[in-house]
Formats: sequence, structure tokens, C-alpha cells
Amino acid sequence: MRKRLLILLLALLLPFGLASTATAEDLDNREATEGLETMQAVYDVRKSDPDAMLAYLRGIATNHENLIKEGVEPDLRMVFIAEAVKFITTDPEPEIAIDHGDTLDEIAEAVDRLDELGVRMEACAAATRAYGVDNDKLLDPIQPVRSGFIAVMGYQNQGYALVPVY
Amino acid sequence: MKIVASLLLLALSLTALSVQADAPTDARALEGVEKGRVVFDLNNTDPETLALYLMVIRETHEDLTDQGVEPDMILAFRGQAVTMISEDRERFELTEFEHLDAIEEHIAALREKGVRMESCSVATRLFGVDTGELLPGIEPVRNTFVSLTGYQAQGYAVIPIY
Repeated sequence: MRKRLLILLLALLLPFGLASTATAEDLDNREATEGLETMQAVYDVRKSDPDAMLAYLRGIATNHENLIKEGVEPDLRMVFIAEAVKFITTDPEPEIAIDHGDTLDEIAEAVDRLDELGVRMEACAAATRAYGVDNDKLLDPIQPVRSGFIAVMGYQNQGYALVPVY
Repeated sequence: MKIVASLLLLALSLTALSVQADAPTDARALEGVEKGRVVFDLNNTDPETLALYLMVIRETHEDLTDQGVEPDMILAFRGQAVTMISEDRERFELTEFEHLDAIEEHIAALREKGVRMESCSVATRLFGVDTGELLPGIEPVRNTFVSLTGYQAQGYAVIPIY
């Protein structure tokens, strides 16, 4: 119970932290983005808690907006691996639907928002198989791929930076 | 009888082909990639999880090959994971031996496929693991933080396994 409260607190605080850092007039990431016209990154999403995952999805949308503010074109990808695939389906396990129904709705909205921003999203089919998620019932913007690990390594080999979200 | 067998074989092959066609691929991520260069950063704290991930890494090796990409894989063991790749099992409970057996089997199979494996000497020192007792094929290196930095500078992707 205490752990849940902590996770909830973290999930609640995190987006504010990301947002306030980004909107503060005197803060930026110019040193990291120096000389870059495009920022290529792949987020390796393996969250086992839907509330924490939702917070990160919103954080990634904020990343996208802030990159544009800094004059860098975002080229962002996400790969959902391991337990994270349980929260990106229109047909979740009953227990998850009962305990986290509202969060799942908000995750679907956050995924739609990321799709609108042009973030490309994939889900690991080995994980969907392991957790009994039907690939045909994944949220619309998310494409199933054969292996999440291959996606993560392939995009890095193509020049995308890795951002672990665990 | 021979005709029936042939038809059955044909039907089975067609089924396999249609399953193959529907199955998801990694085409987008592998676009323009001829060699799958990756270092797995293995830092697990329990043998069951490590065994599970080694199994997935074996599957990943096969999935790369199947999709026409030559795997160039390195496994870097660090942290507590180094205790699980030693022939000395004294620190483990008997109930964990089945997972250690699985780890041994996966490592032997990966070695057979040409996967390179190394273990961090900082970790083996901290956890009291004798590098002379590491499983066959696992080479001690000075510091895995350094090797992870080096491999990424050489163009290897990194996949953290925690």
C-alpha cells in the first residue's frame, strides 16, 4: 500500500517536474541540443505500473514540444516491451480494467496525442504473446513488431539514442 | 498413400507460410541495418529473471538471423548478476539451482552461436566471485561501465536488462 502511494506520488509529481523544468524561462537544454537539427530517440518503455507509465507518456509528449521550442526537429519512437504491453490494449485483463480503468482511458488519450505529434509507436509481439494481449486489439496508433529488443537495437543502429523508461 | 502424405505436407507448408505472412516483423527498425550490433547490459538481482532474459536473448539472436541481419552480440554481466555465472553455487538456495542450470544452458548455447560474453571485475571483486570459476566463454574485463561506454562509442546499441 505504501509502495503504491509512493508510486502514485511519483507519477503525480513527475509531469509537473518535467513541465516546470521545461517552461521555466531560464532553463533549457541548449548544450545537449547544440548543433543538432533533428533529435532521434527511441524510448524503451517497460513500465509495470500504469500510473507511472501514463506520467512518462505525458512526459514524452512534453519532450516533443520542448525540442520544437529549442529549434530541434523531434524524430521520436517508442517501443513497448514486457509488462507495459498490458496497458495499451482495448481489451485489458479484467483485474487491470477494474483497478485502473480511468488510467487506461488516459493512456489511450496520451497515445493518441503522441500519434498526433508524429511519434511512432511499436509493441513487442513476444511480450504480447507472453501476457496474452491480442495484437489486433492494441491501441490503433501502436504497431506490433516481432521483437521489442530488435526494435530497440535496430533503431540505435540507425542512429537513434536510447531512453530507457523502466 | 504417398499422394496423401504429399498433400498433407503441402497443406502444412501453406499454413506455415500464411502464419509467417501475418506475423509481425521488425522491418522498420532493421531498415538499412546489415549487422545487429548490440551489447546487453545484464544487471539482474535474481537468477530466475536472468534465465528468462537469456532465453529471450537467444530468441532475439534467431529473430535477427531469420530477418537477414547478422547478429554481433555481446553480453556484459555486472552487479549481482556476476554471482549467477559462476560454477560456485554456494551462495544460492537449492531451489534456485534449476534457474542456474537454465542460465548455464543458455550461456553455452549463446557461446556456440559466437556471442561474446564478459563480466565486470569490479563486480566480481565486490561480490567475492572468483574469476577462475566463471562459466566457460565468459571473459573478465576490468570495468563494465568502461566497456559499455566503449562499445557504444564503437556503434553498438545497448539494451539494459535490469
